[in-house]
Amino acid sequence: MNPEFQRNVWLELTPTRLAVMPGVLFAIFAVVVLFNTRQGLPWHVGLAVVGDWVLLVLLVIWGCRLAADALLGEVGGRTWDVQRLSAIGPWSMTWGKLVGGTILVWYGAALCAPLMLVVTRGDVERLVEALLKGAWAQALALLMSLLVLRAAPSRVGAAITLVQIGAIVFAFVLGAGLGALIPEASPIGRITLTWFVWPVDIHWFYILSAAVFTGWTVVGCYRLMRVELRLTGFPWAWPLFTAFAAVYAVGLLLGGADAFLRIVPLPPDLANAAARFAAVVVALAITVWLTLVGAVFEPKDLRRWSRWATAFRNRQWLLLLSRSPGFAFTALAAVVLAVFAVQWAGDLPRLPFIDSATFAPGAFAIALVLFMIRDLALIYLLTLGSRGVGMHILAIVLLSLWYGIGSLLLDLTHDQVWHPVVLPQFFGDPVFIVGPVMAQAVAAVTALAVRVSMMRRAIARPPQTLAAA
Amino acid sequence: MGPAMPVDTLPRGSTARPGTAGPLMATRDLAFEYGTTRALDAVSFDIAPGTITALVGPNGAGKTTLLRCLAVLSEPVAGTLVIDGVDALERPHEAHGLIGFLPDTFGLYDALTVRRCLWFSAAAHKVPKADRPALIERTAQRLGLTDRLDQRARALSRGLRQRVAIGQTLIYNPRILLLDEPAAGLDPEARSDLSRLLTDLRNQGITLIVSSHILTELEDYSTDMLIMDRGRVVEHTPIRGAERAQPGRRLTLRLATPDDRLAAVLGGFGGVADVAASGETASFVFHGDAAGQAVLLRDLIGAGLPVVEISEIQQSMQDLYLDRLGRRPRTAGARP
Repeated sequence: MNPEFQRNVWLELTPTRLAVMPGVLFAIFAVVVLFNTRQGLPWHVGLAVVGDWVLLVLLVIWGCRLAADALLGEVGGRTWDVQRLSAIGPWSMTWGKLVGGTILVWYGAALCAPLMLVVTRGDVERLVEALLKGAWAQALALLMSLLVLRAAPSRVGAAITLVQIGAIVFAFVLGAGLGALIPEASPIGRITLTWFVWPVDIHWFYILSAAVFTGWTVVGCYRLMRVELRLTGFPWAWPLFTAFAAVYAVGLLLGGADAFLRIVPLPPDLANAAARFAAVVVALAITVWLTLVGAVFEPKDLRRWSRWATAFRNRQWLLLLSRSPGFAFTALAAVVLAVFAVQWAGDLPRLPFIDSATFAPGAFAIALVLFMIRDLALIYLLTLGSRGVGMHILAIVLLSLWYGIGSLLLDLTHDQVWHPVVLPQFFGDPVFIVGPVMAQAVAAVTALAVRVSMMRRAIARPPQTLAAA
Repeated sequence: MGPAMPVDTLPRGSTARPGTAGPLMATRDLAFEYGTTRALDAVSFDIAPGTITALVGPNGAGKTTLLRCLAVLSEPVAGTLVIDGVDALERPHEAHGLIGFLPDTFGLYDALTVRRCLWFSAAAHKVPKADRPALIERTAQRLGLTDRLDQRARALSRGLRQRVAIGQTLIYNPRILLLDEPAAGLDPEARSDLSRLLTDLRNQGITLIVSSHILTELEDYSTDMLIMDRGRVVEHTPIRGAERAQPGRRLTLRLATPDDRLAAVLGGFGGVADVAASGETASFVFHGDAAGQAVLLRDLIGAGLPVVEISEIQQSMQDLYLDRLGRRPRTAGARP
């Protein structure tokens, strides 16, 4: 058996807890039944809603705390170093903590589940959704704990509550976001949506999507755990997740294209061209965004860069790939997608509802990639070598201000000249769309190169090899 | 210590005494930074197998940071670290299997029984399931914990908790054991037990690095001393009963009356170095045995110096520590 899981079971499922949990749950449901009896109502009225709340409290609120505590509690209790020195692999450590650390609330959920099925007359979807929300929130709590540990390893003791709250909020935001992404997602009625060309029941699509994103969250935990355990390997997870996210969104976009074309009929060749371009631009935008997210969360120290450079110098290509950060591959994918976008933009000016004279979709794609390069350089410029979380937050705030406040301010002015400086534009002179951001990208990359050079000089002496000693 | 060896020729599994084999652990130019603060700088040393190295230094010298780097728990910004032939910074997970690390808080699960603590450690280090019960019994016996196996860790004294923590480490048989302030908070009896235990572990072939402020106790069992100050290694030398890195003994000489020629005459003899003379006393490093020392005495008297006494300076760890950190002058013959 996984020793981490076994240890957590020993600590979490004590005989006292095993006895108290059913007692407390029985008391809660008994109060409702008693209330119903006194009021002359059928015994089961409101039990399903109470059950939903019990599952929410158990799996989401308490579960997030337990999941965060499974890692950050170890750090605070000074046992994490002992674990890191062990031979427990990253996958065993991940599921051992995620399942073992939260086993008590799952025990409670297992006791609730049969009652829920009875009082909801076999509403499996409702139960699955509740359980899935719990699993996703707990995985997010562990993921956030790992990120906190990476960002501020010396200050994790007080972070458990913060991570718990953050994971709960994030889970609800993501759940709501997913709901908003899926048109007319509603548990009422059986509506179908089209994903690419496949019609899917909308409620099950929501549940399956949440399940898949929960899976990706667990994969994220596993990858971060690998880094914590000082294991290296090919960074497949982030590029793969980016590809999945792009395909997922493109599927929804193309599935909804039929409805659009019913409103705006187009010749088939032009409809295909528009759909193709829209798909590649959506994929490009998601790839760029996830590249920047990946860059923020990637560990940054000169030693990694120097190892990467050593592999490059020695022409050890496989080693070079395994030492590259995941976002490097997604950045490369963004460049490739931009090339396709430029290629496929040719037919679009013929679209009947746009100003073909100023429409420059190719320049938009190029500008998007240049903004990405500028932002990557900016993130590294601010955070390289810094072990603290402060500079990372500064980078996030600066970029949020740039794109958020900057675009708001531009909306207030009617002077179109400044727009390409702040955001990639679809309309305008291609030179003015690409030029300003190219200048910014060159400046940011140059500044980064200077900073790297200064940091290398700051390390007093280059590492002396043992062979040379 | 002896000259360093190339990474690929560092021996694996050697248990030879210092000086007869390559180092078990070797660092070169290790540097570590907290943000913009350099906590370790150009740290280089070798640890011979079968030694107990006392890691000493004032507060903030970088001892704990160094131990964490040696345990491959913290990643240095520069430098190399080789443990038993494994490039630990390139293959940290592999190196972890060679290391036992005891933080000052021991890293115990207080709610678990001693037996379960030991079981977890054995399982976490992939000790075969069938071997675990016997190994737990043997480890408990080795550490005097047999009658405590079914007690919770939180119910034990600090000294016994420390033994459990050491047991968690020994159960997977590491090559090198790093202990951060193991004597802190222990009563005198427990400290004495700890000294015996560490000496036993060394005799069983485990190499130890022990960080502590209590120099008198380190002196009981340490074979080497590594002094750190402000992130740098100030001194790394064998102590009591071990071969010294710098050959020669420091001697002190006393004359009946002051003689201005003392330094010049002493300096003229072969095998004499690092002379510090003042009035009627001098201290110097002498590279020679007892017979050579007798010849030196005869020749000094022959040179007309009224020699009353020549004796070897016995420096305690504390003397050496304070001396190397520049906290007080040498015991005899103040340097000019």
